[in-house]
Amino acid sequence: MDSERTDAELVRAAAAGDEGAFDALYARHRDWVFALALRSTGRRDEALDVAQEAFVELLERLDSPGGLVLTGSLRAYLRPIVRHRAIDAARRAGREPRAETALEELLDRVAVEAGGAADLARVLRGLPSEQRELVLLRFVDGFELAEIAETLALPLGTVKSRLHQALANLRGDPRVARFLDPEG
Amino acid sequence: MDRRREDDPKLPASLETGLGELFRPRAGERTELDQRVARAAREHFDARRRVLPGPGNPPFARTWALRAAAVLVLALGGWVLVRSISNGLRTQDVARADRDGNGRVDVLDAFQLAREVERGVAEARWDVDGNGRVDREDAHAIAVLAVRIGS
Repeated sequence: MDSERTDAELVRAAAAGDEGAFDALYARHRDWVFALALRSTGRRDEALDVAQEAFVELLERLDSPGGLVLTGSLRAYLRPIVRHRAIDAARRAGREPRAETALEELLDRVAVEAGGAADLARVLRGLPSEQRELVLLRFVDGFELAEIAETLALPLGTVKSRLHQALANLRGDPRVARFLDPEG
Repeated sequence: MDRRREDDPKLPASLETGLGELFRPRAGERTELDQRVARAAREHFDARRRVLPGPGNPPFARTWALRAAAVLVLALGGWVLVRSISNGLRTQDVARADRDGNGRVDVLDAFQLAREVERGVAEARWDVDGNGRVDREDAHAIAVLAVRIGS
């Protein structure tokens, strides 16, 4: 069953022409790819284009000479693809291709909306950018600490300490109180 | 709090979910992306099936084996035809096919017989296929034999 197969197994199967395996990969990572594209572009319409381009590039890479061999997680593999596509999209639109700027603009837009999402957006917007990135990589993207260290080229100890600081900032913000469990 | 938890801190589930919701695609966006990627995937795998081996698609080796088999069958068929003609000629004296007596059966022998058949002057001894009459089939049989021997 596809849901029981690892990303690496599905990639191997898809590279061998198994359409079902590709479908399973897409279903597993669709929302995350879109989310990363949205964070990288700051615009929902561009995020749609970037997410599509990322999956098309994945399809193309499946047929690359020697095939696509996954040595880490698929998300770690896809992350730079999405980032680069987002940079291309920003350049095409004549904007500064800076993911951090795009994310802050997006959070600013969400922050003026009603509801709990707006509060979270404001809190996230208020975090130092290096802490914000760690929170997103760990708790939205689901990266392991070692993967984060590798992705950001940081020592593991630095990742841990920054993450602790970020969580302390989050927990200490009264706008986050409603999201905290009693024992949290 | 144990050391492991301290090293890899967790967020409350509701906060983690809330963060994820900030960037989640909307229903319409999911549908749009599904359609776009499905189209791209179909085109990709269709194109792949046309050029690469895969499920439901004959692998290269099998495709080439089929082609080679077809060529072999044609060659074998030709050889059987020639051989049957040769056998027929041998049965009735192959030497008779060498109409001009130059020591070999060639195109000229066939051509000569064809001309005689056209003119209606072919002698009964040129009934090389032994069917009781001298006609174009005899000229053709000699032509095939000439090609076979000449190759």
